[in-house]
Amino acid sequence: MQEPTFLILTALAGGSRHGYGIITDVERISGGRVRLRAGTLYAALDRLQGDGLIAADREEIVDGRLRRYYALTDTGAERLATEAERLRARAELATRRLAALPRLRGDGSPA
Amino acid sequence: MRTLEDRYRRLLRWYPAEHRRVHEDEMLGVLLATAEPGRSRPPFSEATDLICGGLWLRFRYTPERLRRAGWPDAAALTALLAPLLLLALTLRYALDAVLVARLAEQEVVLVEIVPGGLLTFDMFNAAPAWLAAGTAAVLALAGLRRTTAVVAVAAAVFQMVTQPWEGGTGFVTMTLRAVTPGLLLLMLAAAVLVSPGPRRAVRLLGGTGVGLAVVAACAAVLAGSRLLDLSTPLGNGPPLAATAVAGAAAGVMLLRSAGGRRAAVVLAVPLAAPLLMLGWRAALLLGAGGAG
Repeated sequence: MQEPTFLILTALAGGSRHGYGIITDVERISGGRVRLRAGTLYAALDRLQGDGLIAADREEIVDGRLRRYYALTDTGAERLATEAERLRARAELATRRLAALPRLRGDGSPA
Repeated sequence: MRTLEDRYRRLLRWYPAEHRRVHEDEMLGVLLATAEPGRSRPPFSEATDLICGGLWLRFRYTPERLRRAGWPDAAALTALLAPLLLLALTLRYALDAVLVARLAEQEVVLVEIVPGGLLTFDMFNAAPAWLAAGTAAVLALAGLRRTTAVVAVAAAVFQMVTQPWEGGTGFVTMTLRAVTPGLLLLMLAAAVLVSPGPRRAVRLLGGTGVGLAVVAACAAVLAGSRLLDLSTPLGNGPPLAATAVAGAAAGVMLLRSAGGRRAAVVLAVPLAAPLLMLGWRAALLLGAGGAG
């Protein structure tokens, strides 16, 4: 799963969001590192909807303009959980190995 | 004066109409909400992103979309019908070559008897190209996909590069000899590589459809050749009629499925090439006449 997809699904795991809401949430989750543009976001939303990972939730009109909210589907939640578990296992392995590095333990000898 | 919203709306025209109908208003809201205050033009990076997004949505072809549109079926049918057409063209050439050789033995002045130029020079120079085209067709029917693709591309290049320059005998003859088989060979090369197999093509066309296509191809060999034209009083009439009837019946069976309709469009391109060349030539002649 590519990072923007993971971030969009993670944003929607926090509740249904409209396009601008997803952009701001993704920026926050990524610590300001990823700022999705509208073209990229809507291409991703179209693909994720096609794959059944997200679905349009509800619509509202704000200042005369349509806002469509998107929500994570059960399949999307499962895929995100699998990906999160995969990343967690990797991160855990990396942390264990780093902890075993002698120079990080203060031994001073090269790895 | 154009506003930022107008400019974003223009950029959103890159998106398919269906996508715009559902998402245009929503996307405009996002674009305007994320725009820097006071900006009147979209930033270059934003414009590029929108154009790329629009093009991606217009041209994305996932395997599922391609399958639903019938393209694998079209490839299977093209991989079956293109070799039949190529074999018909090759056999037509072989018949004419034998005829010319016989007439030459009898020391008949060929150009007078066969208007349009069945020149021995032309006929025998074309032999290697037709041999390659016929080989590709046989390999395709034998189910040797990769070998077919390699031989077909090589034969197409050979046919298209060498044939038009061999003692020209008119636009239509030149096209039938070079452009039509060249394009058929290229389509065959592409089709065999992605085709789900000949069984799929036979299932789509049905036994009767395949039989009719074979009959049409055989009749086309005789109809296109000068053999009957010169040796019987009825000339090419009967085989021409048989080609038309069997070809039309096979065509109807082909048009029943979405894949068949796509295959028909694909195969119509090389077959229509001689007509297009004829039209182009007529336009050139008319232009020259008008200028004079």
